[in-house]
Amino acid sequence: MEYVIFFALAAMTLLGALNVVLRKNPVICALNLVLTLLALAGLFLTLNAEFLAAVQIIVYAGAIMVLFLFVILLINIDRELWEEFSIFRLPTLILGGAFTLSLVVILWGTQWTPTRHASLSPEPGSGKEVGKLLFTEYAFPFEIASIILFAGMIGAIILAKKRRVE
Amino acid sequence: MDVPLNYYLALGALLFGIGIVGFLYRRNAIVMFMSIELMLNASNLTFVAFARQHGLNHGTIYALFVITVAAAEVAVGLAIIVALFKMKETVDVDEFDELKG
Repeated sequence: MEYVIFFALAAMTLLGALNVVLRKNPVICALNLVLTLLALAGLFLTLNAEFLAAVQIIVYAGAIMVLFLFVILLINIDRELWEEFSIFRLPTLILGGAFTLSLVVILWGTQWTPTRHASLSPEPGSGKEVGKLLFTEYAFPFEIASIILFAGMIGAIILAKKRRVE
Repeated sequence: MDVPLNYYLALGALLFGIGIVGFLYRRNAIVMFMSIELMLNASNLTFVAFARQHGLNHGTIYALFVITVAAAEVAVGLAIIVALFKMKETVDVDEFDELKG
């Protein structure tokens, strides 16, 4: 049963990813990326990471992709940019495909020894368990992350505002 | 029982590869940016898969920080793309060749 759920979510993820990369209309690409993110949130749920699944849906699919869609709607009006298949780009596809294939084969074939630690609480991925680590051992990166977000905010405002004519 | 780790890692690798090919092949700056997000999500999946494998939550926290930094990066990156569009009326990255030659 877990395999059925995994393969359904994996199929959704891969179809979404392929549609992001292969479609002409950037709005369709963005919507397919949202589908991919939702399928990944489902996969996080199967991996017992409930808090991260919720954060992924709220932040990634709910805020970042909305930002993408705003910018696409601002920018790509009546302009559809489609790359005709050019023979000069064939090495890219071949090398990319070879790299992916080798990565998949290597990761699929290794025997990963399970090193389960005995500290398995009843709800391993819940907000409580993540919070226990986040606010003790990872408190400093947590504060630095807030500074990164602040810097991102300032940068975005400065880059996008109208230049004053001096 | 649980789906073994190899399945999740193979899926993560496939997503990463699709992101790479999308980034290198497409010319629309916004779609290239979306392929980068795809790669980041593939690495998040790998982090969380290993977190379950080890029974610890460190991987989950790393993935949380990746999502945070991706949010800041998307804000700044899209602001750059908007500024470039205001300059040249296109988002085709082949058109931005001022530094060429």
